[in-house]
Amino acid sequence: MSDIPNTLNYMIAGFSVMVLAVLGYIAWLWRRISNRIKQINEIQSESRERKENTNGLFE
Amino acid sequence: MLAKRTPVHQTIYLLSLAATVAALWMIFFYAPIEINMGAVQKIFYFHVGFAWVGMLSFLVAAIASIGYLISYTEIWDDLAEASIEIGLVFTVIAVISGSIWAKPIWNTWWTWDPRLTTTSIMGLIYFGYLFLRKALENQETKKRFSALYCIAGFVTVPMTFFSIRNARSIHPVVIGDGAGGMNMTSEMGLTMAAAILALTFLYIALMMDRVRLAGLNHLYAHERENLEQAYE
Repeated sequence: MSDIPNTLNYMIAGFSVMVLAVLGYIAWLWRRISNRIKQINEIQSESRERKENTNGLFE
Repeated sequence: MLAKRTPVHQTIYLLSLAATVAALWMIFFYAPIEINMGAVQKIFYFHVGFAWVGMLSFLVAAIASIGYLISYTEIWDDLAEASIEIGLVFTVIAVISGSIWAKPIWNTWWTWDPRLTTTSIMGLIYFGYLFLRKALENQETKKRFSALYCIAGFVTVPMTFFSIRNARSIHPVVIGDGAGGMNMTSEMGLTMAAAILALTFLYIALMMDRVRLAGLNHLYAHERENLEQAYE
């Protein structure tokens, strides 16, 4: 057993990098999605408001 | 419809999580410690998984690009872009984790070995794909040029895959029994299969989200155009 090299620190570093990178990418992707949904909702409500105002002018 | 994940999508995320937990359990409690490398060898199960799924995603992107050039349908372009973005993330993780493994085993963080060199070239080629998309403004030109670039760039994938088999490389051949193989036990082989399966599920789940984002981007552009026309 004692012949096995002690490389535990490298193993911990390797797993930490993998976990952080995956979670980081997922967070970035989800953030981009939620931002886009928010922007679409804003633009759609602006469109609706404009439509209502335009209709009001012709009534 | 685009605003929420479908039940199938949520199930794939859950499957990916369950498979990752199972793979981690197998890595730490089922697979034996490799006698020459010690604990750091355990990185290899996910390192190989990330590299494999990275290459798979570039294959998916090449197929999607061919699909786009045949049909000129937007979804193929979305699939190619999504697959390359995720493939790049997976490839970068494989390179960094491989570098951490190399330090105690090869006594260096990096060496210009054929596998490491071809992987770097492959990564740079696909980073170039993303830059190309940013650089072109005309949508049709962008999609057509990107598809052609992606198909041409795919040549780096088999080059990377076969670099450890056909060139003199110090990188171990993990899959198959080529010279310089890791001589994995059956427990190690099963653990590697579990890690690859977990990352394949993760890739599919991320692809569904990334394609959803592309759909949202199209919807946003469309709504914006409508609003601008209304103001004119």
